[in-house]
Amino acid sequence: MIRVVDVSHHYGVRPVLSHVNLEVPTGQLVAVMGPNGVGKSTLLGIIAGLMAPARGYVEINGLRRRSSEAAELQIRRQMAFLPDQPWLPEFKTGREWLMAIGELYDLDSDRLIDHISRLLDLFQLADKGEAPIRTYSNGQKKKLAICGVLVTEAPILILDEPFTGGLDPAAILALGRVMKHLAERKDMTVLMASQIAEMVEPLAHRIAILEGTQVKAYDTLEGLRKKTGCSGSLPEVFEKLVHPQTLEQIESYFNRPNS
Amino acid sequence: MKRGLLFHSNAVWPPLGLVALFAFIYGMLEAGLWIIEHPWRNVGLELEATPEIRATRTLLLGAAAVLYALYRLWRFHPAWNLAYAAWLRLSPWTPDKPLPLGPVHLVWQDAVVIGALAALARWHAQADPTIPLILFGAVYLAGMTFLLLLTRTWVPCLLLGFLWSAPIIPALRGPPTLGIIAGLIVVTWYGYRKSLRAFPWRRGEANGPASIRTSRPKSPLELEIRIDGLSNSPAARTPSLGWPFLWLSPKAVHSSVATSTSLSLSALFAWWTYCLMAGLEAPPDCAPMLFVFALIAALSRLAIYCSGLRPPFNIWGRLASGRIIVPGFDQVFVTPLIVVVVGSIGGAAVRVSEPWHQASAAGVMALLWFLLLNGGPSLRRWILTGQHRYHSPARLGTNRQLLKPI
Repeated sequence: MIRVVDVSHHYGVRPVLSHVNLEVPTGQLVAVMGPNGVGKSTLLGIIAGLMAPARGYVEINGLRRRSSEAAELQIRRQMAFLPDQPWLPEFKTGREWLMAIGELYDLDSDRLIDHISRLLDLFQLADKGEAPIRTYSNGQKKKLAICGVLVTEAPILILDEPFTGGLDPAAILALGRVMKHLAERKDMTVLMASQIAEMVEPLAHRIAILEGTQVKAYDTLEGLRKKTGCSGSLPEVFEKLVHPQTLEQIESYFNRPNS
Repeated sequence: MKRGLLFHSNAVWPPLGLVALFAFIYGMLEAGLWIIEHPWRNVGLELEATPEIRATRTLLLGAAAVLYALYRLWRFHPAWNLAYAAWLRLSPWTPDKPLPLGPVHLVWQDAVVIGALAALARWHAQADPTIPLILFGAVYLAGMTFLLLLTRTWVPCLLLGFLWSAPIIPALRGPPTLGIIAGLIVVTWYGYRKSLRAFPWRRGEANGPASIRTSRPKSPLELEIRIDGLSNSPAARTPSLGWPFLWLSPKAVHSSVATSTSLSLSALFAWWTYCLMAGLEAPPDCAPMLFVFALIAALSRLAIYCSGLRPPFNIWGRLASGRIIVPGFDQVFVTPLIVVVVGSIGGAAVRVSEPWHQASAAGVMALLWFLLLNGGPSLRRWILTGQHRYHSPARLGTNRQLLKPI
């Protein structure tokens, strides 16, 4: 269970989040959506422990983040975070890096080696496993970063824009299936930020829509449909919630007499 | 019977290459002298008697003694040779058995080698025969001290830290120096045995690539201050895991400094201060020196603590939100500020305590170091619970050769 309690944050004088409250129950996959610059990455960074909020706090399975050394380490053992722009060590091979990440989580080395091989196969990186990361393309680096999160076997995953960053269609498909599998597990909690509503729709149990520093809506897709009165797909519901005038603007643009 | 085995001495003789190199260089010098002197023998030219030639010979003999001391440590101590240490760890060797490649401690062959050099110095080079002995002893003991540091044998290291600096004090020069040398030998021997008993040491060869400390120091004298990127410690391998993976690691990279460690090191640094001041004929004014030291030390501590970290929001954010002080972050400034204040007041106090200024300067130094090492929050606590944000390498000027974003 992830609890975000009255979190506010600002960089300088610009507010990014104000009085955000969110609960992600164990066993659910929750997607955070919203326009650019609305604070999705900041919210995920705060939950992941990358930064302390200006106000409010985050609880993971009843433990408050940064409240004590023991609590913080216990939270970290249960969580893995994929930032939107991870930095990977250029001189290490992909397999070495994944091993190092796995060892941080005290995973059994035999099991870790096997898991890494399966992950590299899944994301078509088996041929690159022994190559230094500097030889990887951007898409391959993104795949490796995703493998780095999955290899931890952490029960709570925080993923910031997992479907972007140059992933090829096969990798998006593979990741989608992995996420679907994770979403079906009762012991896994996944919180992800994504702009790709088509990918989110079949995966997310609940969707949080951020707008203007606050959570505008947080519900299941069905709940969001009821709230907006829109029976369409998630992109349409999202459009209706965040940019209600966009559809009319498009209509008006194409229906001008001169167009 | 096992104890007797400790003194085995096979394979200790200097390598043939080293002996040949020394013989060649020394022989070249002598041959050159002979070639120059021979035609002029009748007119009584004796280059051998000149101080320059005596100094050159002494230099060669001294260099041979230094090289031999370094060879003894480098060749036989597993701490130098990671492959040897790794092999030893897998072998049935135990500390009560002799080291398989040969002993690190002194054996009778050492007396023969140094005796030969001393004899050459006495009867051929017309130099002081104790020079090779002193140089061999000094380099051997200094090397052993370094190896004790390398193998983290902290208590003997601390004692050696006190002993090495003692001869600086004028009152301890002369006959008391012999007692200090005896102390150095005893402590080095004790430390060496202790370090062997602690084998395998926690160094690169003993650990996996991501072996990161998870607990508080085991030894009360264990000091772990890690500055990312400056050493070969696991924490220094931060870039090898990328960002933010190690920052959010479930294993704490930084350890706290135990109070006993802080006290011991503070006493050592105070002793060094005392020795330095006692060794100077005209001790300088301590007040500005203590202040400058306190300022630099406070800034260094701040730099270590804030490396890779930023406040949750900037100064404009503080002003705009009315939260001028953010206790969760600003706690990091408290100890450095106290250090600077203590440095200023302590410096003034030393100035007025004229007859006791050496002891009072040492006392202030001890206090400053104790505050620096033990003042809250500990680095571990700060990293894990401080109200800060872990900064992206993009804004830290990280070496892009090592770490690149996607």
